[in-house]
Amino acid sequence: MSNAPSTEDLRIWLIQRVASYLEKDPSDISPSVSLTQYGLDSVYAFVMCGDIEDHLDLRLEPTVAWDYRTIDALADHLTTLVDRRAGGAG
Amino acid sequence: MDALDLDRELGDPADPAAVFSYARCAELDRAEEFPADICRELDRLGLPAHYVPAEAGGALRSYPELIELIRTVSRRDLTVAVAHAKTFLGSVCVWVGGDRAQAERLAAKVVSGVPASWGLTERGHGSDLLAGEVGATPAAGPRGGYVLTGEKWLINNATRGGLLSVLARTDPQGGPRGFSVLLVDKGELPEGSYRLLPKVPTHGIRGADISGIAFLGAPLPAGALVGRPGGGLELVLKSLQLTRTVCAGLSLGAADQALRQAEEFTARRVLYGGPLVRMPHVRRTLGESYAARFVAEAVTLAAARAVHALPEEMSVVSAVTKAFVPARIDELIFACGELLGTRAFLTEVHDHGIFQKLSRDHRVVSIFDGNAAVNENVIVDHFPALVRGYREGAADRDGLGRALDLSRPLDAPDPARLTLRSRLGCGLVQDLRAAVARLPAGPAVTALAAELLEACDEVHDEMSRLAPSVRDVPARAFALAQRYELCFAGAAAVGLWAANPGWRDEIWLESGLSYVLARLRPGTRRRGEVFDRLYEAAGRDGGHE
Repeated sequence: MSNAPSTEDLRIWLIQRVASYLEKDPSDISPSVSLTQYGLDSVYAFVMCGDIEDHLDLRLEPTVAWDYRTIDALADHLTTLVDRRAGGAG
Repeated sequence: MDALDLDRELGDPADPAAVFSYARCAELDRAEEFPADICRELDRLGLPAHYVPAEAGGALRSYPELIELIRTVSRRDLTVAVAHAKTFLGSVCVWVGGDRAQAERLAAKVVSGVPASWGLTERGHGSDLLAGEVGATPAAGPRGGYVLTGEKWLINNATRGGLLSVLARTDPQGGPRGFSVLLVDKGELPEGSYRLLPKVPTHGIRGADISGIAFLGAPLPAGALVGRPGGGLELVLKSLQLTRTVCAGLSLGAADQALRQAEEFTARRVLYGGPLVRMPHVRRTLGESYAARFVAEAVTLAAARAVHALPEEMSVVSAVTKAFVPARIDELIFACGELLGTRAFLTEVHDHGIFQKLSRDHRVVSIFDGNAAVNENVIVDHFPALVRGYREGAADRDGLGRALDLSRPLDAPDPARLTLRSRLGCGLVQDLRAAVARLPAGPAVTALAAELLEACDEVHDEMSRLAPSVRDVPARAFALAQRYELCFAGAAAVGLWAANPGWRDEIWLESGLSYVLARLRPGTRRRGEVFDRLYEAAGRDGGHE
């Protein structure tokens, strides 16, 4: 991927995804709140994992959202993975 | 020891002098007494070693073989099978997530006949594992370990088991990383640190030890932890992929006995001047029941081999198997019961009333280890991957080939490859278009296979229109998951038949597909004469087994 998304891009994208799962407005989603507190079932993690894999063309552990529980933590983790891939490819 | 050896060693079940006889099982059921003598006999014959992977020192090399062993025990008595095979469920977390030393220690105990039990559910929480309240807190002192407190309830073998794998809350906040699996050795617990809860009376499996255990600050060594701290839910969900597959053996054994009772009764019983089996509807019901068993066998065989060949897809495969096989066998038992008429209710005739017992006992199979709703929810969660995989025709063709070709040896199962979400979806269903295109069958089967493919297209179209739901799964998603199970069942029958020339006569595939399509497209009018022909063919193939 030539234009690797920044952490901020990922944060905005994740907020939009989570808002769509919850059928809420993105402005109602705080990136620092644990996603389970929004009432998302533990299996939301698998749906989200698939969406992230498609968006970033990455392979993730299905449990990634269990280990990184807020949008902030997830965005940081994904940035690391994307950067690592860019470094490995370059 | 294979399934035939086991059956031979156990002797004739109709002989009341045999340890594992129909008479003894009926007597224990009436007394609601645990089948301790029969379990000891199974221990003596070495069955527990088959619950232990060969790498850890046991004899489990093949999941299809393990399932056939459990089927053999279940055919004689489901209560005994549920009681004895529980040790596999009680130890599976260690096989999947434990370290080598831990696995070898547990293996030695299981092989020596110590029963193990699996402590998942709690009073008031049932399938909702994340609501579990049994808690493990770090022990004070330099040696570490845990202090375990709380109550596990409706646990098979809780009283009798010497070992228990317990899912415990290790983070007071809970959540998917808030639980860990701890292996409790009751023999090492100080007196007074736990209390056993009374046996719970049940409708079926009356003799089984369905009870509970309350931990009262029980001290556990650091080595009790199985896998990672906080990894408990993930470990349990992966382990369930194996146990849900193995459960199919219980249903197949029950199906064998139900059919045997129906065959014998309808052959002997004379009504209106001839044996019952001369009546067309009797033959048709038996034929359709053979088709049901054949389809359930195909699903089970494909799933059991997939443990070895397609472990990454077991989240879908095991959920389909556990949702589908017990439910279809419940129907088969009901249909056989209709043929038996009042005999299905009598408790002392026909092998000591075995039919009424097995129909009660089998009811629990679709409930435990994740009921149909739990498993269908797993299938629904995979809809996006299943739809995409189907449209792309995606499959791990090498793995699929090894799963379906019965002549190919199975690799040792690798639990590290199990995953909670199958990225590829389900290759067996996704390869159906290609499998149908090269199916070397006659016109009747070719037409049915084409219709199956058309129905699969429809089911996947409907699945694609359902938005992924992360909270409340709508009721129609469950109905769709049930239709998906039928697609899988049809694909398993087609796949196995095509991969194994000479495996079964073509009539089996024709009637299996007819059985599946009658449920997948209930509105289409069909002639049931294929089941009459299957009945006749099954008779020619060496009796109605």
